[in-house]
Amino acid sequence: MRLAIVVAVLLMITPLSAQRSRGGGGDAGGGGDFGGGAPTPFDQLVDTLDLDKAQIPPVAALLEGVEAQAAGLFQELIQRRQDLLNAETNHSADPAASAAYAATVTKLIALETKVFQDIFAQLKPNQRQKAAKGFERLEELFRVTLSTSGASRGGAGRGGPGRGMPSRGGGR
Amino acid sequence: MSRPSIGRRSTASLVLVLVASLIASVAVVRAQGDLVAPTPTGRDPVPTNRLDILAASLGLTKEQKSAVKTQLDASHKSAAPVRARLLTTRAAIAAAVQAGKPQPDVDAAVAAHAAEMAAMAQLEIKSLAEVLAMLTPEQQAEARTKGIRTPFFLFRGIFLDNGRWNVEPVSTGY
Repeated sequence: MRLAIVVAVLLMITPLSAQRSRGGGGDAGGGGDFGGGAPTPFDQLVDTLDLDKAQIPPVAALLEGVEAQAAGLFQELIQRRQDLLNAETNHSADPAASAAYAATVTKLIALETKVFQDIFAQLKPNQRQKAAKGFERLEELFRVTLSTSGASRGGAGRGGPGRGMPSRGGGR
Repeated sequence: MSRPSIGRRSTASLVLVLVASLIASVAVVRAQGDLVAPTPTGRDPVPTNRLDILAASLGLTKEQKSAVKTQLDASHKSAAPVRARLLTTRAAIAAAVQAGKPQPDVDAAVAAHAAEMAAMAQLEIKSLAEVLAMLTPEQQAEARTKGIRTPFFLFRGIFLDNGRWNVEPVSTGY
């Protein structure tokens, strides 16, 4: 029981630091913000859907528009996971914790899907054929980029997309 | 007469530059070597796969590490049905949007996928709790002091990969 309490306290201090340490283009070398290295998840989304230059800014704007909301949901999800762990380590089933996790993850997937629908509406017929693959890229973008961008800056965003967002011209 | 003198000076300068470059290169290589593969300095190599990171962060003994591996191998295997449903339910969302299905159908697909994601999260958390239960009282005391941030995030998405769980972790999973 005491272990669970400590988990709760210590996880709240810097919940996102562990996520930022690896993968997805960290601040110190992922390439996204610095325009070098491996393509960012956003670049991969653009490539997968074969977006033309005119389509990139509206798609980037869509993602910018949900960045703070997504980051907030990711933060909430971390808290929900912590609740699940506390229940497990206390050996007490907690249906409320499970339901809360499911509710938050549903909001997140719904948000992802809304973005996908909005992007899909802008695609040309030949691009729509690649939409399913684009949805996979979008998932990656949400998990890798949005999960650690807005939240790490207080969840408010900075008027531009987070790490891993457009490194190519015309993105803003 | 002056030409050979200039030539000698140029040659001497070139040699100096080459020697300086060589010294600099050796210094750089040694510095890189220190970062990547520390040797007699007493530092251990940085763990890169999940099991090694977990073992380092919780201070697992060799026997505990082996037991954790066995347990997580089994958990990864038992997560296969959820893993498979995650793929199909995710694809169903994309298919619903592509097919222009009505919003209630899309919402139902979202709910189905979210349910699988929640199920996977439960498996991940249950496995983490099982690992924590393997710790000795002393290790648990240490965990209380240090916190378990690393294992907590290490288990996010641990069973999503079809192949193996004991790989270098990346930011996957909710």
